Amino acid sequence: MKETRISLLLLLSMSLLLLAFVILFIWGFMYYRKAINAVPAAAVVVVNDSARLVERTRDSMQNVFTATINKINAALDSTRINTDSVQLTMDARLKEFYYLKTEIDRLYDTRLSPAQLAQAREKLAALQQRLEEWRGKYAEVTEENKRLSALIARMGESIDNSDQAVNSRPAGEPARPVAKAVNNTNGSKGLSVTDLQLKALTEDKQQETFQALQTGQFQGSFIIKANGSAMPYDEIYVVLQQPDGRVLTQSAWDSGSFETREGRKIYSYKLRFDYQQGENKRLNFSIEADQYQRGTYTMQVYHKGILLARTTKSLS
Amino acid sequence: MPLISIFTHLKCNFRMYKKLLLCASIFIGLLTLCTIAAEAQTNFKLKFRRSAVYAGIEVGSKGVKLSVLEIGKNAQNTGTFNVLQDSSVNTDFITFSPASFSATLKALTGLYRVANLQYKIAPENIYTVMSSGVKVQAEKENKLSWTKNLADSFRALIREPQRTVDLVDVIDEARLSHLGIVPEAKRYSTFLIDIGSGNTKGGYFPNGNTREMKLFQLTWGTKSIANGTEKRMEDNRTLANFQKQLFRVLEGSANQEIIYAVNVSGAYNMSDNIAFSGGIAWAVSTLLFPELHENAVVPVTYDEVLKFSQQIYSGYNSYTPAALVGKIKDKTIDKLPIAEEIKTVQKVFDQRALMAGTGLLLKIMRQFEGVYERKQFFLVKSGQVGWISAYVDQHSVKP
Repeated sequence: MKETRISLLLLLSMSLLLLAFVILFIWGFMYYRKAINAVPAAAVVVVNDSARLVERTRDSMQNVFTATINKINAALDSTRINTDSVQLTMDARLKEFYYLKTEIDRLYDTRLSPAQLAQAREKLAALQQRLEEWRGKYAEVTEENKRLSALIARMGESIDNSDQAVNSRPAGEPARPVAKAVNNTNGSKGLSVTDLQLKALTEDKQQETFQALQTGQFQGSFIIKANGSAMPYDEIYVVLQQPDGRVLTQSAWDSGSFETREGRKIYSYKLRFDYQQGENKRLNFSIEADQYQRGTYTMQVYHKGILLARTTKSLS
Repeated sequence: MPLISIFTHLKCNFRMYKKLLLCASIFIGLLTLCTIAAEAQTNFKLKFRRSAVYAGIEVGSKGVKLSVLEIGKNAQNTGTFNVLQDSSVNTDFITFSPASFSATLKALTGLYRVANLQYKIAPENIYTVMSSGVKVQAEKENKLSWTKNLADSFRALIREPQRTVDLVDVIDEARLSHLGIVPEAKRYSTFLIDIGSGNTKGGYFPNGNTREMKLFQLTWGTKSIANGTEKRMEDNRTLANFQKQLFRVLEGSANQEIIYAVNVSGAYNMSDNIAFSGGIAWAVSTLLFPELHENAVVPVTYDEVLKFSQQIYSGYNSYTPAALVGKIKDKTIDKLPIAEEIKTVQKVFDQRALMAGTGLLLKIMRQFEGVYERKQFFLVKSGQVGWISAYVDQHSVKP
């Protein structure tokens, strides 16, 4: 009798152990499935030799990486030679670039899982995107510098007086890379933008902050002035680009897209205004997002698809 | 053989292994609990940092619909909600037959269980209502007892005797949609118009409070315009003839009714923003602004819709998913879901349905396109689920 009981208990225990292995196997499978799902959707490939595939992916990624580095280095060289006024922005971008590069290097030093490979791919895409942005911005800066020089020569006076207001900071606040007007361009039917300001405010909207975690709202303003006639029912678009390149938007009701020379662009805020001839009109806006990233934010002001002014703001 | 010998060995030393087996059993128990806990988490990809997930189950004239929404902390201020799941079961409740009653009850209970058990949404975050379409028909046929029976049977089946199953009327439905879709800042300056397949309805708050609502209604919708056009085509089934007959339908009785309804509503003088919801608003916004795929609402101008209506007639091929996605230069935008959405739009609306819907949309927009005063037009993509957001705001317990 006792013998039978022991046998039954043993059978039960062993089946429980078996169940444990089954559960462990299911867990393993679920973990594997999650790792696979984490990789962005791509064409399904039948893997016969996963090790070779990983190696091959690493190789191809290494090639892309090397090519990108070479391109960036070439771009960097020419950019360093040709730019001076945008040195601060360049330094910030350089820092971002080397940070990304170090991260990718670190990823290559380790044995990569599919999830890490996906991460590396994302980093490479970000790196390539930075390069593209850099190229675009370099072309814009060159073009706008030319236009600005011509304008300065014509008007015979400096038009950039925005730094004063922007650089002011609360007493006791340590020096930080604050917003700095990069350019003011009279590019759109005689409309010019001056005194461009972008501030990050705390959640209670009482104080300016330089920390992403404390930020509750972005507040911006600028002055528009037209040399031509009055402009009834006109519109100006504000694009606030986040450190990851995406446009920061508050609500779908306030954002949208508009045509530019480079194609359609998403805007963060649209300001509608009536303009009387000779008026110095200040336009204000605020953008409240769900969360704020750390890094450099770029604010651009467009009128009729033409970039008029740009400034940056860093949050740590 | 070795298995049997292991078994015999274990049997002989059972007392010795007793503790080990006990530990193994506890380990298995914990493992099972962890597995259950891990599976209990919903797999929704949330968009907002501070938000909650709610479900709304609506018994409509045609069927029962479950919508799962992520509602942001400031939803009422910014009009931000994210549609996570939208599914429906056709039951045809308004035929008021035992078969349709049983099918509706089954669908209602089934969808409630899906929300509660599969999506792990707490019962207090699941809202159940019966639409105005059901109420109107039930009142007309003196079948209000059927709606009461349905609600009672549902409560009994899910064992929640206190559950509210509201039977909303036309004005409540319009009010809830407006409150859920339009953000607070634009609440009293926005005229919301829902273009359906068979009719168009909407309204606005004329007196700065949400109690009084001015309703607007047209007997024309996307499908009825298309049907009216088809009827006029006779033997000539060409696209050119469809365009010609569509013009006649829109310029004929539809135009008269639109002008009259807009004038009577008084919305021109009272509204700065005109927002359109309904299937055609979703289709036009998706095809016109694919880059704004993630936005629940897109601003649009009369000229943009006019150009679009001309393009879908003369250059429909330029609206393929590949062509539209190819135009997006922004590398931070994920193009795959956009292409999928465009495909879905083209499955729901073919070229002629798009022409008919856009024609009706333009006709209504035209009434607000003044020479001296410009209105801001918006296209709302997920208008059909907006009521849940308002319902949550009205019924949730506030601290």
